[in-house]
Amino acid sequence: MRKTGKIIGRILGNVVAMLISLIVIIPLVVLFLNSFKTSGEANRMTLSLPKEWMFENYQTVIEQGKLLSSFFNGLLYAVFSVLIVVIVVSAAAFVISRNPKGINRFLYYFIISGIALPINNVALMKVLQALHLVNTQIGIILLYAAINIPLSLFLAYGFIGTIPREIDEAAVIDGCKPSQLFLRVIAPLLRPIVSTLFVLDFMSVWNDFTMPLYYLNNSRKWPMTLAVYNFFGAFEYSWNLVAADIILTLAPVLLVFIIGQKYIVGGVSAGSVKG
Amino acid sequence: MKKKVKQIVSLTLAAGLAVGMIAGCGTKEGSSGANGKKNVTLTFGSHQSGLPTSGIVQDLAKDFEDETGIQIDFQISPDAQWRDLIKVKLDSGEAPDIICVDTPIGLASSLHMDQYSVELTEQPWVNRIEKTTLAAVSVKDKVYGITFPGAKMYFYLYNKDIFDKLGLSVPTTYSEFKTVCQKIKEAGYTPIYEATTNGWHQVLPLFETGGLWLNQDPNMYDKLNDNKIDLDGIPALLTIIKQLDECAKAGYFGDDYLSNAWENAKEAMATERCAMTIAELGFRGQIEKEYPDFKATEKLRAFVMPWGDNHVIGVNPASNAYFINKDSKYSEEAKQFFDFLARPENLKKRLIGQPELSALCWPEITSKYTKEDQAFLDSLKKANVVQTSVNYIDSQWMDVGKDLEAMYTGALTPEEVLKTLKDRRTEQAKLQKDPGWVK
Amino acid sequence: MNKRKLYPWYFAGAAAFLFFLLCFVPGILGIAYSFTDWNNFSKEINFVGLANYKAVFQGNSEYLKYIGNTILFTVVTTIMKTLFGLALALLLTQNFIRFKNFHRMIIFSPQVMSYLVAGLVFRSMLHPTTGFLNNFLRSLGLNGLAKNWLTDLTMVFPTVMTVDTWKGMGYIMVVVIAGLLSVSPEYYEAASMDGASFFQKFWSITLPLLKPVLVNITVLNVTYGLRVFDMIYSLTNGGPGNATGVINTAVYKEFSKGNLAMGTTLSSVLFFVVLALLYFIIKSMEHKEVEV
Repeated sequence: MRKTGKIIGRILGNVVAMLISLIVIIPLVVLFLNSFKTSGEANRMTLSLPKEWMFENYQTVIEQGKLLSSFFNGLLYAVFSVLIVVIVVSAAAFVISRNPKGINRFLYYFIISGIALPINNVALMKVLQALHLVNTQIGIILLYAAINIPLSLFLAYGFIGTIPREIDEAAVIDGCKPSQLFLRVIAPLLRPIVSTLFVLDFMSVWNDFTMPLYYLNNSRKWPMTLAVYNFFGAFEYSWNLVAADIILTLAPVLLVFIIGQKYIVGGVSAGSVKG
Repeated sequence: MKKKVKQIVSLTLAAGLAVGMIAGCGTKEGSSGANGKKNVTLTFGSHQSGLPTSGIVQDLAKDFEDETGIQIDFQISPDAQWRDLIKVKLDSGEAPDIICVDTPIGLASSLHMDQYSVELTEQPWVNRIEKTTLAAVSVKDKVYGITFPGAKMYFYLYNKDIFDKLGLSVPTTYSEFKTVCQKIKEAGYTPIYEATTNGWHQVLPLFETGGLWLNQDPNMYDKLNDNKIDLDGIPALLTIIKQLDECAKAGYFGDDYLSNAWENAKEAMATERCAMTIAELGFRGQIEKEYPDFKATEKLRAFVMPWGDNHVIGVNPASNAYFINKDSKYSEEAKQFFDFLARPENLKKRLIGQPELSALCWPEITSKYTKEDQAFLDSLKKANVVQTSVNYIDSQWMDVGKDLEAMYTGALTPEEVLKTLKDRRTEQAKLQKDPGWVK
Repeated sequence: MNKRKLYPWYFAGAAAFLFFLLCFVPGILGIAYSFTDWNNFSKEINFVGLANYKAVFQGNSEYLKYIGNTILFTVVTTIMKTLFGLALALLLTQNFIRFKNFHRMIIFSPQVMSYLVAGLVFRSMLHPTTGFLNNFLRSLGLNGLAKNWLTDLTMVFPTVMTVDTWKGMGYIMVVVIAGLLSVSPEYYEAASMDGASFFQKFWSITLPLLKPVLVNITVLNVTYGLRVFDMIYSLTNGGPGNATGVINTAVYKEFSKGNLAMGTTLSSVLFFVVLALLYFIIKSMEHKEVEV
């Protein structure tokens, strides 16, 4: 009796998961299908198969939107800024979480306040100009890193609290210095949170389009997200091309997500031994 | 498994970064190239609606590059961000070499391009532009920009077959218009295709009927700008707002007008679901391009919007124009580009390459209007539309669209719509310390 | 053991420095503009003290409505996202679910879509006569359920909040999964041996251990909800009329009118509110930790 109940529960669980996935994915399917339609047919954005599969939409989008180079720009900004965030944030979260007193405590609240801080483009432009970072790729990378630090620190801080302190103590007895303790002992345990941060931050950087618009004056340095505006006209849009562009822009992030997911799982099986 | 993932990640990263670096290095600008051609890149900033989706301007730029070696780098940004963006960039000296903004530039509520751009009054092409349109890119008789699209005129396009079948004739007054709508509705068609989600279309009846305002007083526009009279002093405006509400409530816009998008207007007209819609004459060509079976250029005729018994067609000389940044290092090259664009063959190319455009504001270029259309246009009485002549109207265009939407849902009365319109104008004027308002 | 030596503050230095330079300084400079008459139309900027703040709190009853909408939006979406995210995370960490990673990816994927696109796809899917949703409902014979989702004044706000939940619950799910996976399986094994049911395990093990994660989520959702803009802008643009206007659509309006000082004032007010809330949540969290 209990066993059949369990089996039914399992089947039910799978069905529910499938159903939710189905509901969630419908809009994406709509986009996907419309990316193959003619612009007239795509105007309604319906969930129907294209009368005629226009594969050339993708070619148009890639050429007209210069998607190849903008893809690598986007990758450059996302990867480097996220790397910076992950490194500085995990170091900061480590010391702040372990010793939340005095200056550490102040730094924590100071940085966390950034979660609520609105961005003011006029002021930001002045600061970037003063630092000679405007219109440079390094500037945009640092900017993205800075913007993502507060929330990432907040998430990482909570996570480090779950790592037992005994590990530190054992390491110190073994003669570890702070930097060794962090790099050799703590860092490997951070994999779940690091990969979570990587996925979330990568996504937010990849999706952003305002920063390059304001702070890069050369469209050859622009990332993929801005290419879509080539296909928006004055009074109406070419939805088929917009859809094709969006599908191409989504793909890399989903890839990062899949890779990140594997790491989250991998990290736990490594970390749980000591848990 | 884990190793494989690692490999993929590092490989992708390495490849991506390598290409990113190369792309980054490749953008450095030199001063002179090998074969005498200049190695200059002009940056061209525009909002999404500033450049036609057909890509004709980019094509022209490519021709220009082939001829001179000067490259044009187009930077297209979303409409929603553009005004704020260009303001930030202009004030910080980071603006592109060529800037595309909406005209007219002379109104108090416009971006003051005359402060930021190179004066072009002495350029050879200036006198070839139509006078009324040239005024839209000038401030105090000094010309600052180059502009191409011809004046816009919005009509009611109607389906002649439906009208003939129901024995209807073109309405010239509002009450005739209502009768026509009622008959069409009873015959099972949607009388008017209206789309409010884009935000701009529903506002046209209010301000494209400036003829009524000028009828009341030929100096009405100046008086409004001097704040000698306010919007509630114009009975026609409130009348039209009330009439819109009446038609919406009577179902003349159909059931879904609040969810409709302008993108679907072509389909609505081509499938003969709807009998009328407000559009330019060139819209028929666009319908025919997408729906070749429906001979829109023959089947759709036009009449002047009869809201408030109006019979004067509103002419809107404003559109968008290109300006040269005063701080640009390459202003000579930019002028060269403008010269290139002004060549007759390139003007023709532009007109042909932009399906939604019927005419240029360069009289030397023959328009796409047929003889019949031209005769129809010539027969009409014309008046400038309100938004290009009266301050603080165009800047709140989309807000008015939302007010009308609120009126249709019953959240605002027509009187309240007028009041918000008025208040917003006053607020804007005070903000700008307009002498008519701030003494 | 000397904590200060073992956990030197300069480990946090890089993060603090970067944040200070490129986030804090421009942010504070921005807030400073709220004490001026800064606008798009004149070059000079004058100090006006608290005049803008007075204007926000005195006039314009519209703001009160926007504040009400913002709070409603925040509370409802926070609850919905937390419930869905938590349930999905629990479901998709069970070993018996097939294609777990696939499901996770799908449910996360809307988060990747830009708001602009999400808005336009939903606008067409929710169209009363031609949209997918109503057609689907009618094909099931449920004509009564087919509504004017985005134009009916009573329906529009729930619709917007549902779409926002659709988009945001995947993010919450990912954060919760990261939290769940950091819980050592030994706890569960021990509980299973004691014969605990799934819900018993959930109440006595999972939930308490997830508490910090849940607080994190609440902070994420609340700060997002109070500052929501893109979702509303792209779906209804605050409409029909002003029915779905929130604080940040008002900020946007002020900016596009050229009244930059008023825009910054509104967003500064929001900043102080969010900051206070944040502080309150974190404080209460720390307090509880001490109790445990």
